[in-house]
Amino acid sequence: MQVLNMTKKLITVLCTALLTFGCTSTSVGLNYYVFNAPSSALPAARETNQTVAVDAIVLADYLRQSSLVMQIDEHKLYFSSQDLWAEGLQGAMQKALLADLNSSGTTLFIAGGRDTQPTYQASLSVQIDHLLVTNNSTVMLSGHYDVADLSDNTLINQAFFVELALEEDGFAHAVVKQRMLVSQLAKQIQTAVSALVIQ
Amino acid sequence: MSDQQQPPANILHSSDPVEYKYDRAVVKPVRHISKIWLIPLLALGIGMWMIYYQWSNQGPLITIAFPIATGLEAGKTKIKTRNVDIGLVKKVELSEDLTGVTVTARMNGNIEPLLRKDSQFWIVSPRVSLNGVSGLSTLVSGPFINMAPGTVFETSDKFVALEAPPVTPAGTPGLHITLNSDAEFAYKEGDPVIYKGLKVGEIENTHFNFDERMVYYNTFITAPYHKLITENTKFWDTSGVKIQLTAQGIKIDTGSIESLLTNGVTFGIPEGSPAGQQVTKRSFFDIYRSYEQASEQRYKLSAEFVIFVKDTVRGLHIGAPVEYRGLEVGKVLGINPPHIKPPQTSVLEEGYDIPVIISVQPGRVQQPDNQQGLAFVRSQIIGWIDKGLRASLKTGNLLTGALFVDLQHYPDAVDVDNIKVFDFDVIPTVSSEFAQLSAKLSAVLDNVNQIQFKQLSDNTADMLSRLSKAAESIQVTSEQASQFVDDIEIKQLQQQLSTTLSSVNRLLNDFSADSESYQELNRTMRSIQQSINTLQPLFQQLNQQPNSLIFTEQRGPVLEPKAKASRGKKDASAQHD
Repeated sequence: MQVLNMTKKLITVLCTALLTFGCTSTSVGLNYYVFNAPSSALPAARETNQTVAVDAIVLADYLRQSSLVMQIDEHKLYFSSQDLWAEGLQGAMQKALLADLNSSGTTLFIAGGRDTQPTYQASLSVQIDHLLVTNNSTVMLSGHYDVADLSDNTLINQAFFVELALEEDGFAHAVVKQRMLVSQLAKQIQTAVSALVIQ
Repeated sequence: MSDQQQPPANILHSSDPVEYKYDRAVVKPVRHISKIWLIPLLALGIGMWMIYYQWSNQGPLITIAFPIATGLEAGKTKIKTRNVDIGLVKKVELSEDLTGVTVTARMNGNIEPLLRKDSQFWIVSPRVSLNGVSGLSTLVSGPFINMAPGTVFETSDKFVALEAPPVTPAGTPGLHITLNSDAEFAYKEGDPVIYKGLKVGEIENTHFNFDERMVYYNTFITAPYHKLITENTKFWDTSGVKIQLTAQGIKIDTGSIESLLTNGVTFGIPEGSPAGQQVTKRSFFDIYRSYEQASEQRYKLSAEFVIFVKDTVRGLHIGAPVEYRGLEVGKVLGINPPHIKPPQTSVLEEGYDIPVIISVQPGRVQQPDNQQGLAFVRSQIIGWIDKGLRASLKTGNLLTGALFVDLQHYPDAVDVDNIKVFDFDVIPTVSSEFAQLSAKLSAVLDNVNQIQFKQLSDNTADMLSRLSKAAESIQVTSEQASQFVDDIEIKQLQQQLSTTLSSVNRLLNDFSADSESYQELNRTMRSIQQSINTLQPLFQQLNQQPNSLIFTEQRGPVLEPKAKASRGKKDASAQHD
């Protein structure tokens, strides 16, 4: 009986000591990033002759989380535990892509899926395979996109790879460069769709 | 030539005047016999010797009387025994009375001791019968006369041949018996005697006794089976297939395959009967129709009674069983025998009772088969008649309709006096099953006739009409009730469906995209997602370093992107170092 009481007391003391150590440890500093920087600029009014619906961007599996990713070896990635996306990367990239696509040109890009009575003439699907900081001090964006008419006939099926060199250290600069990569992708898409006369 | 010629010496004439001076010839007798004569003498001697040899070695000359000389030729046909030549036919001629053929044969010299008086001769020629095929060799060699040596000491030189080969050659070990039968079937020579499937003997010949109108069969039982023939041995027929339709049912008996083709006799000792002494001399046995008939013969004595049947006796036959409480105690001996007359002496008289003679055998009721047992059975039956013993005809087999006599005690039977008819005690009878059934059926029909069918039918019709009206009312009521129930059910169902659909509609509205509930649910889900995102670094940290909550100094290095410029400087400094 006395041995049992002694064991209980020992366990209680150990748990208390453990919790005390935990409370005394320093907290980790977290950095949150937004893909689209807040801006006061509004899109200018323009005339459009065709409408293209942009489907939800399909991300690679390793991008479907909140950590920023960096390539540290050819097949090795580093997920930062302190640098995190403040919002979902999929929605953020779609907003960024739509904003860039609608910045100019005569084609109106709208977000949405397949409606029963569509008001658009084609649909755009984008799949992102990679969006990361490379171990060569660059940021790269790769994947492919395709444009299909209402009958699901593929009009454009194009792979893309855009890359920019980092000029500064840190994830903040890398995020800026990644946003620029999306702008470059938007320009490629805009150019391809503009050349396409959709019936 | 000289002048002094001399006349021939044997020519002398005394009157001749001339004398001649010649030397006189000396005549001498011939003393020499030519040797050439030895040859005929030698031939004569040999011939004489041959004649003597033939005469001294030849056997006796016998005569055999045949009914017909089929294939016999003088000088060619041989006489054989055990396939050895013992004689030759010398002459074949008709008998003096011209009714047969007399064959004269010369036997070999050493055969004389075999020519006993009972020696048998017969012509061997090809024979084909149900018993087999024999004498095929004579197709090439021609027929010959076969001899079976006799056994008696007296010899003879005159014989009467058999018309066919003897079934049993003389001297064969075994037992000669004589069977007799008054049945309609008959056996012929060579028919087998079967014992448990084995052929143990043959019927040698048959003889019909005109006085007794019976056929006797001389039969030979070969050794060692002749030891089976004892005093109580019974013989019965086993020819072909026997199908019996009796009171006990249908019974089919067959013998051996041989007896299926021919007739056959088998024998045995009835069950329960002692074997008795072995028979060593020729004895006489009866041939019964079946084993059952033979077996019944073990009971020698029987008490005979007569019953008078008021019903039909169709299906009752002689030999039918008499049963007492299911046990067979006797058999039917006669049906309407001419020497027994009932009170009504003519069949055509009204109420003619058919007399049936039955027997009760003491041996069957565990009594000694003697006069004492017979007297006991007789007195017992008569005593039981006073106590209600009655006889009746019952059906033993529904298929064949065979009847048997059943003795039963009927306590309620009407008392009758014991009477005798022609020295037979009379056992009173009761009606047969069929008559009893007929009486019961008649009584039932009488009762049925007494039923007032017209009134019954009127009442039934009235009742049926009322039932019909009641049924119509019930049908109308049930239809209304069914309609009412259907209405209630449909209305309730519609109301419940309407309520359920409105509830489902409200529920869907509550969770539609524009509804407050959906918005609230969406916000909640986002909050949960944000919370998970917030906790994700902690999860990662714990995943990478589970003890990082406590030991913060052990965290890994924190990496961040490097610009190319700073990477170049770092590489340069590294090379410089």
